[in-house]
Amino acid sequence: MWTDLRHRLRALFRRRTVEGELDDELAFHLERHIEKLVAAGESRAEAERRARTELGGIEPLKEDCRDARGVGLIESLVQDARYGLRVLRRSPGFTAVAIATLALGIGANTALFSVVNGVLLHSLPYPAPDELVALHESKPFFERGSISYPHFRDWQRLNQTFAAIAVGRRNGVSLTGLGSAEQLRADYVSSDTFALLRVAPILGRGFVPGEDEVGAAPVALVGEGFWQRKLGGAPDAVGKTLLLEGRSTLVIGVVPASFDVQAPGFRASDVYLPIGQWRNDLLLARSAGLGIHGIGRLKPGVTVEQARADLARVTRALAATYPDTDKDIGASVTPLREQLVGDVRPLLLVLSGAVGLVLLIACVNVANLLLARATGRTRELAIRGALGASRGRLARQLLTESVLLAIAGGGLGVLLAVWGTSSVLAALPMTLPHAAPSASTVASSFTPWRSRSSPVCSSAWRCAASRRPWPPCPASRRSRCHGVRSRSSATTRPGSGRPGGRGRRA
Amino acid sequence: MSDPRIDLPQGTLDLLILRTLALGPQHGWAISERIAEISEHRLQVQQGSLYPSLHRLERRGWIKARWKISENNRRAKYYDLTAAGRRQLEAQEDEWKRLTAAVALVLRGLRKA
Repeated sequence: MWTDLRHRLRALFRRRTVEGELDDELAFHLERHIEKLVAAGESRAEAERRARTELGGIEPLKEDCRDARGVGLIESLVQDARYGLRVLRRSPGFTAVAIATLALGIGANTALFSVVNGVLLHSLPYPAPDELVALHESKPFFERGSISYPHFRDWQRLNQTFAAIAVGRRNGVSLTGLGSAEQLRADYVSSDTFALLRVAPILGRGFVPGEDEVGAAPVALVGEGFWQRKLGGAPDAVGKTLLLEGRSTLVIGVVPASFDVQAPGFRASDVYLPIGQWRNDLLLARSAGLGIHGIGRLKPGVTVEQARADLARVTRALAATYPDTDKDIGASVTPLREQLVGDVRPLLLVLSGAVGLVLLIACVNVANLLLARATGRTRELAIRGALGASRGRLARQLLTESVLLAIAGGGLGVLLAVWGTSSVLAALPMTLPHAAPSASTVASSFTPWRSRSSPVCSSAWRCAASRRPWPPCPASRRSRCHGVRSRSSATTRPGSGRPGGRGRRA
Repeated sequence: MSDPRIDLPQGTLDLLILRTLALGPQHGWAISERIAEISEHRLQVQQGSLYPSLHRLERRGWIKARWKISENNRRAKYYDLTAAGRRQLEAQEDEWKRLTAAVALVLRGLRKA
């Protein structure tokens, strides 16, 4: 096993030494043989001729030895690649067109797949994301209106299908008494928010039930970024107080920077405060529209329809109890992913179908170019065939050239895709009404380099797959018409002694 | 007319090389000469296939090569059996005997029938 590997590596990396040794070995053999024949009474010239004949063709023999070393394939691959590069460089027009065509096809596909992957296939970054829904109040003129605080409490208390319901309201709060005064990104949330999304604080604790009630003692969670920036990342930051909106607020924990909630009403913030701390005169009004939106986690096994029916029951009951304020109020329940993706899904699917066709057309075009070129190369291949290159060898050489084109096209395509992805995303937010504010964060996870590299894998796969079916056409065409000729010419080669077109280094 | 020389069946060349080297280190040319001599010139090693075989055996670690001064005072590549090669030789020899014995049995049986 080890000997084998060491042997192959030596053959690969100390190629010149190994080749020199082979030359010496064969030269010694010939000399020794000639000596023997001369000793038996042959003339020197005749002995030399016979010795060579008995050894067979030197070059094919060397080739066999290279194969025996186990690196013949790699060596000929390197050789083909070098030769292929030379050939491509000699016809820059063809090369440029072929690479550009492939790059466009692959680039468009990769860009769009990156987006599709991010938007449609990527699940939300929380455990059991399919249980998550976005909650809104549906009222006349507002299909997805904001939820009033009292309604939230009622829904929370009366529903039977949710494991938890949480609400949030994006806001800004002032920070004083810690360096210069500052306006912070803040999110007023209900106690269950972090538990619902199953995000644990990296330091301290999360909110506990009741802490979000109006009138509770002021506490706050801080984001990791804020903790690093303003609190020096100190572990004892928990237990300190901050002056937020002029009120002394106790820091109880630190939320990880990876927390990047994308739902209406919520956002990654510097500080997270209990919704009850929001000093707004209308907070307790049943009919207030204050921009509060909710998320919910369904109990395991509960469908969205069941949750809708459940909340419909709750809102009907509330409308009966509070006919003045709750008369036309319903609840809107949407899977969170659908809420974020909006109506883009069919559009994206159609687009990805379209770019798939573009890639197909690109492949056909390049295959055509290759075929046309193959006709012009008849002569070259005929000569190679005549020199003893086997059909397989010729096909391998042409395939190598095609693969070179594919790699160049694929590489350029990925570059195009990086640029294309951002422009697709720039076009998307308009059609992503509910995800618009988070588009930039979505974008960061879409770039082909970051989103688990799967789009890049896909494009690598694509450029491999896209080239696979096509190049063999010209390749087999070539090798078929010249295989016959090569064989007959090889048999007539003087001194080869081994019919069947063995000489390969054409 | 009958040619006294026999073409080597596939795979037997390796066995012959290993067996020859069991007698002591040799270079390629001497190996082919030795095989011819011992077989009373009935077996003719195709020199074109000798060297690829040697290289393959070397890669498998059954023989190892060393440059030494030859009997006619020149640098030559000498091959020698390794421990693994010795084991391989025994195994192959054994296999060969069983194969020929079995083939002989079948041929005898067919003649009787």
